[in-house]
Amino acid sequence: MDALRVEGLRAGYGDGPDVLVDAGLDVAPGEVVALLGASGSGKSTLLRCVAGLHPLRSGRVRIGGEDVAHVPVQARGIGLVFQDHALFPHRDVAGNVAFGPRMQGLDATSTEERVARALAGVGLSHLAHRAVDELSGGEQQRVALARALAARPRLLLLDEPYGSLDRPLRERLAGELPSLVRGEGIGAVLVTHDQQEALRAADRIGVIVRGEVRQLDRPDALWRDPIDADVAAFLGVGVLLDVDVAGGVAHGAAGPLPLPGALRTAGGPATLLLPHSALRLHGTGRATGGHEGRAVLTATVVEVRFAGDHHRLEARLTSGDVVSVRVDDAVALPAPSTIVELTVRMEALRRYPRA
Amino acid sequence: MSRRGRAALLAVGPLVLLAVLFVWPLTLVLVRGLGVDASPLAPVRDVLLDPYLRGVAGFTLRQAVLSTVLTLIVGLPVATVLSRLDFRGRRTIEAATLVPFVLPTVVVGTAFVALLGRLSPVVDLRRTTAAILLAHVFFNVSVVVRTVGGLWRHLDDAPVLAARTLGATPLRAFLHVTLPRLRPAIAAAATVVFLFTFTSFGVVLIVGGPGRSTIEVEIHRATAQLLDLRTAAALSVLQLAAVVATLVTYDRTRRRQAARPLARAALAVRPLAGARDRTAVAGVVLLLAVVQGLPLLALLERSLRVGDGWGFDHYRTLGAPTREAVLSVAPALAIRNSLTIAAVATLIAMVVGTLAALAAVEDGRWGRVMDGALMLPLGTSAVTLGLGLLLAFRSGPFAGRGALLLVPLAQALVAIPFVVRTMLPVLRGIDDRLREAAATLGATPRRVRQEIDLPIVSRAGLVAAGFAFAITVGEFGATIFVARATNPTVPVAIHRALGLPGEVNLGRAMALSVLLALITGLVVTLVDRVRVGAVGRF
Repeated sequence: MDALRVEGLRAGYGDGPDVLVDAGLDVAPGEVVALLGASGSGKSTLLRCVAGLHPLRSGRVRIGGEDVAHVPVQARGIGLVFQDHALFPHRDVAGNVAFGPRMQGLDATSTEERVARALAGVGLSHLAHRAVDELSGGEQQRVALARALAARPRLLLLDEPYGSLDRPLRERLAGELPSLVRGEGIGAVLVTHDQQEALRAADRIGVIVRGEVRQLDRPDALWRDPIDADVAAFLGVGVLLDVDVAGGVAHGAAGPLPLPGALRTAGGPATLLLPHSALRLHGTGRATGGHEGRAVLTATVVEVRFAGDHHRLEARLTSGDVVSVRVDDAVALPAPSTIVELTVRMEALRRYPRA
Repeated sequence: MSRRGRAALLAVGPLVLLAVLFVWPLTLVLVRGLGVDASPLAPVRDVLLDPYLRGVAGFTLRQAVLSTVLTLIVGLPVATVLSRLDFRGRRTIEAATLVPFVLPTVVVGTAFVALLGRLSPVVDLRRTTAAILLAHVFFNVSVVVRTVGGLWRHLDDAPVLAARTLGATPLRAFLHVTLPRLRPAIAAAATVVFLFTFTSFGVVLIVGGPGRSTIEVEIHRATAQLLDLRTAAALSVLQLAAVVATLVTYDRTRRRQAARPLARAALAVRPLAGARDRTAVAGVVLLLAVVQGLPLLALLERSLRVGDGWGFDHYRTLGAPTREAVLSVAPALAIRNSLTIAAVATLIAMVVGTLAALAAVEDGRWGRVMDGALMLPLGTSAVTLGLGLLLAFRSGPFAGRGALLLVPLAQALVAIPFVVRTMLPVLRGIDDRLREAAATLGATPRRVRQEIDLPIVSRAGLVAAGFAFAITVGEFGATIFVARATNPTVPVAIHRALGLPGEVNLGRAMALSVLLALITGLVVTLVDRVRVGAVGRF
């Protein structure tokens, strides 16, 4: 049974337009799903709808198989972690974590056990009796997580939980999330605008564009096969070229590109995704010109950067789009302003209808 | 009912009280002082033409300017050390600098009487301008430390480091980078200190001598001794004009200051490094010990000195009436009076202040009206307020100097702004996400109110009540005008005892001052215990 299933969700603010348009989502127990979207895309609203903090205009939310349309927030069995943590200022760390068990009417002993376990789970046992405003940002975030988990929720919701933290800490905490969630056997939804954070934490990633979950998939599948131009653009997979397809060849400002069989379906205008990963620098000593499954584009080198364990070449296509190409160190590095030839791995191209 | 309607309904009580206890009395002062009833502006002209009163006005200004400069000279190094260096005991010292500020002015005056008496065989500063200045520094150092130190602690260090890498010496970096950024805080602190010392009453009345009268003291003298209400009112008008002019000037300069980026937390505090840092800390501690510690120590010592020995005699005799004076009452009665009156005043201030804050929460426009209106009594000197109340209620329902309710009502008026300022942010700003967090953790709406709203609001309420009590129990300026002679409060009794001859009276004044200081200190300490986060910090 799904930990969470959302179907056809519509929601908005006041009399305003829909912020969420037909949004759908499913999360399995033990799974972390990241919702990735630009700010204003509706991802936080989706989370608030699931939590019961925001009314639905239509659609259905099931938690653990149960339709929660008429279940108030406090009875939904969810744990919500807020962006700046929303810790109770009048209670210490243990008092914050004990809140959920207390609301469930647990006796003092069991409450203490739950608190101790939750704090140990996030490595904060030594801070149990500190005031929350004395903690660092990372510690506060862990307390918020422990507080949510101590209530033994069926579903964990995290709304930009690492937003106020610096990069290394953010990635470390995001990396700790999957094992915590699997340990509890619950589902989790992580709302974020940060791709690195999503890749660290999530089993699957949903990309939300203008109030709609456009694609929900495993990260590798998502990057390999973006479902539409919006998703491809948001993820930054590659450059999008406006082309006209005729006779199995895409004609555009970047030069003609022969299309693989699957993309030849029909002629006419189209948007073509040219992934950065599909491009290689034409090295010296190799055969020039296209061959089976490859095409060649000319480009002008903008700059060459060292990226840790390889170099990246930024080059401008004749269409004006700038692509970023991985360069193997064996290849001689071209100087800026030189004209280079880039081979294209044709099967990586994706074709979308022209917007 | 609409929110605006509810707001208006809630605002009625506070506004009526304000109209009766503040607007009307102040109007009477203005009418009298400006001579609207007889010959316009004649009273003010007479005051300005009177050489003695011109001297009083000049002295008031001079001592205020000198006090402000001296307070900055003492306060800035303290602020520097406390906000830049981290060392053991820093928080304790910071808290200690606040103590004089929360003490009733009468206690401050008495402490300096004790200190200067003790010093007199060596250097006799009794009844000198220097005595007034020292007492003002004692009282106001914490304003500078808190205002300037508070900003400094949150200034990002990067611009200073940038200046240093560009070749500036530490001194030049301070003068050209840090000082300009601190200027708004220094200006604010200087303005507040100037206003406090310009309108200083209790301290000057007790510490100053003949020829060292300020406008406030002169208003009191004209009223209580000379029964010249016309002159008193004219002095009040002049004083009010000076205060308004200061505030307007300050506001003008403040508006020109652009907001400057602040570091998120106390980034720039660093541990002690080297002998220079240690010397700086030692110097500041010594400075505070002399400026703030000695007077309190002298007060305690004087209250325990009996003849050539020591003992609790002065405390023990507080229950007996004073024999030397005509209208004498036992100091113990004054203590009972003070506690009762302060409790009633606190209750009034809490009810009225909370109503006002609730009205402000309901509706923004009413909020601004209430906020502005209730701050007015703060900008008016307590003595002017007292004079107005006297003018307003010489006859009528509160007839007689100080019918029972007038004293607590007058004191409540002084405390209400603090109650509003403490309650309003809390009532307005319980973060909705705290309620949402509680709900997701399983709290029903009723439990949310019980577990989140109630504890936070009631703590703010306790803080507000504590402040109100501390303010009212030590209130002197307004009370001395309206308190009945046979029913004095502790500050009034202290002032009276200091004016009487004899060792017994002096000793009693000292003992009463120590008790009053203890009561105030206890309340403020308790308040500090219960406050949550930033709630109730000014």
